[in-house]
Amino acid sequence: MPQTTIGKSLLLEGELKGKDGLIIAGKIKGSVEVSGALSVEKEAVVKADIKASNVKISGEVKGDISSTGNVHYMENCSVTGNTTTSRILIEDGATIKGSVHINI
Amino acid sequence: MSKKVQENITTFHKDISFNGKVVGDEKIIIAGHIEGSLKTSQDLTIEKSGTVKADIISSNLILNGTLVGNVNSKGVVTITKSGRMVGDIKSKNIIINAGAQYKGTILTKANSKLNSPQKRSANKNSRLKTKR
Repeated sequence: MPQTTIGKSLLLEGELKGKDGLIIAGKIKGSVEVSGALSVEKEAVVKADIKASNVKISGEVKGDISSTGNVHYMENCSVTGNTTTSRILIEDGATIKGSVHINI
Repeated sequence: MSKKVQENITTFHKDISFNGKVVGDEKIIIAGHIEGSLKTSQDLTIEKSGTVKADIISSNLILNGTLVGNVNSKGVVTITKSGRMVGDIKSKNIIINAGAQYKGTILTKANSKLNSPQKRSANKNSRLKTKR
């Protein structure tokens, strides 16, 4: 599956939409909506609402996360915002502030 | 997801569209759709499927796709045969290949180097002489 990569030094301000998978290693402000998988890398900073299928967070996110698949919060990640998903996995050491809704 | 993040390259794939501002210090490849503004200190490539509606500041620029907007480049601007562009180009070096479509104004610093074309022709002559 082709993947879009936002590199470390990059700063994006605006609306990002797509069908592909997405890897974020830089900074994003605005909104992110992809139908593929989304990965927020270790040093990434995302100040945006996120919509994706599978979500994996290792960096910092400020915004609501909405997933149609599973959400994976890695250790040392930082999430401020509400999470809506069907499956969730939170690792030891993850920092989370916000409500979690797990739909059945 | 197991693939490691390629260092210093950002790619926007075919089905990605972005609306807003992009600022960075690394190589950017665009195959998707971008609207707004783009600024990088490194090279920028717009692929065949890429459509960009933005003002661009970059080092080298290679355009295989469609670009609407002004370009300010510190390197070489290349519009290939599949490239289409509307907008002004400000760069020292510009290549527009046969088959490319372009509408706009080009600004180079050619005027400040009046001597160089003469030198070049002189070299050509000398080369011809030695051949004979």
